[in-house]
Amino acid sequence: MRRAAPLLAILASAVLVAAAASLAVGYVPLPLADLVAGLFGGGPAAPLVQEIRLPRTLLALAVGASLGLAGAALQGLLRNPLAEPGVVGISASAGLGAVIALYFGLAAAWPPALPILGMVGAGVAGVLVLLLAGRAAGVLSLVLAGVAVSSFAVALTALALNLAPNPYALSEMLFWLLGSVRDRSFDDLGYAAPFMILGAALLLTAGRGLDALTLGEETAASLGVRVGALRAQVVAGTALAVGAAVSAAGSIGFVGLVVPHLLRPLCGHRPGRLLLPSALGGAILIAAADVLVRLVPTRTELHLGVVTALVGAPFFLALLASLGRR
Amino acid sequence: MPPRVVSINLCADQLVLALADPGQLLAVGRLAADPTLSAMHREAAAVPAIGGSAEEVLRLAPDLVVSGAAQQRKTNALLRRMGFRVLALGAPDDVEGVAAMIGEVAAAIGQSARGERLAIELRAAFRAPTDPVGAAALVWRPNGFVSGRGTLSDAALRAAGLENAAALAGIGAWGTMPLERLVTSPPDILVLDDHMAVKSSRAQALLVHPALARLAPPMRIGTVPTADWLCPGPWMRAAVDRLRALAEP
Repeated sequence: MRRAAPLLAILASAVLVAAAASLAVGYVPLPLADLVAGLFGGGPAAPLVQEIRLPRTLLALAVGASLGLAGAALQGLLRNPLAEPGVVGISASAGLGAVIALYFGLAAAWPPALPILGMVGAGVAGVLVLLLAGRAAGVLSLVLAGVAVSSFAVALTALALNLAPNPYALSEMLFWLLGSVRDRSFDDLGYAAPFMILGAALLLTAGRGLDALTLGEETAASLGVRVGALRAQVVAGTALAVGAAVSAAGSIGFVGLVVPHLLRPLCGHRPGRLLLPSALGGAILIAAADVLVRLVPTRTELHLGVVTALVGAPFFLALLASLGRR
Repeated sequence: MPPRVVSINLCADQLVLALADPGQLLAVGRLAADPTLSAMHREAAAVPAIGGSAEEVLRLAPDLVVSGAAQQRKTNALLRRMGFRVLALGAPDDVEGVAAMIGEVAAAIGQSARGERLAIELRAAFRAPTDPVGAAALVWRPNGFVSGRGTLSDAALRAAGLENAAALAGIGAWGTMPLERLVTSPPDILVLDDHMAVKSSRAQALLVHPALARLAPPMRIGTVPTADWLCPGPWMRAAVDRLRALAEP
């Protein structure tokens, strides 16, 4: 673990820089002195910084961390570098659960229904992918299972939006497909954060088991790892973290794919060591993307998934090509 | 002193522009000044434009925020949390609903007299004609979306003395009409949205499929500028007038 310390320190500093940038950038110019004063107590900018920018920044960090961490854990569990909440359909299914909660009045009657149904959707997809792709999933079967689960969930989401009494179904669809943290409040963060933290705790403590699993299931079992329990822990952790993240911010693709890959060469090839750095890296990526969408002068704000896809899709294709050559 | 107002939704923008005193509006959304989308674009040019984020609203510190109930859901929740008074507008689907919405906005911004006048004008514009033409018209939007029974487009058609072919075909509030069904039993008049809102008719250019062009004549094709009926409000009388002109044989 000694080698990991400098990397973690660098990543943690980058998280702080990204968070500071996310607090400093917005639709209203804000002098640095006002920003700092507003953040730590008083001043005229306090409502803007504390009620608008701070929850937005914290949510971006938490969502990014959840997606990055879940990506790293799934890659370890499935022993497949293409596993990622978006690719395997977990994000889309979480979105389906959230849409059902929102547009059939459940979330209005009882707000925690939103993250809970998001997590149920994510959990169902996680179990489905495990069943469909098998335990040590090949590249092809995993991606195909993900395509099937993802398309199915997106189609059902569109169906739910069509059935619900909602004249803005089409514009809402964009949010659930591409994600955004625009104008979120501490209420949104409050409903999602406890589940994201619980999920992250489950995933971070799976590191030792995932390390053992790289040696094969039998060896891992002989080392005292209960593989079935490990699998349940990772799927449950992913369902909690990603389900809550998607119910608050929509589904944002490619984060869990790009981040672990960039960090893997720096962490050595033990999946357990990759978990915490991937959480930090995901937080950096989403916070930075959220700064970018506020700086790009488009007529309406870009969705976060647009930015992550612009970065992630070429990356995914390159990765697929290199796996094919191997 | 009437309340100072910020609007952050295209349809809300147009209503407050129609109702408020000059100087009462601190800002409206950027789209309000777009002539292809907004019937109040001239009035909007004189008012500062914002993107509609909570940050901008907070800086302007209005007494009232007028917004959309669905599209600005998250922004509304955040602004209410911070103690702002937010009037979130729904999407009424009949003339009385629009009149009630005009009255609600007018009362909230302290312009009830103007609101009553505009509501009366709106009801007058939608009054059923004494000598309906009876021709069947179909409002055809991209990807085959049509307005059936129980929509404002349906009310506008009937106010112009036309039958709504989509409603006759049993299509509810919002639905789609397959191109094949349209070609098999074409309406007398096909009504298209003109996003460019130019004076000369671009109807032929707007047709999405060559099969439609072969139906005219005898089918007539006309356009209504999108801005005239994209949002519910008193400006919809322009859409009704336009439909009346199209209905003339």
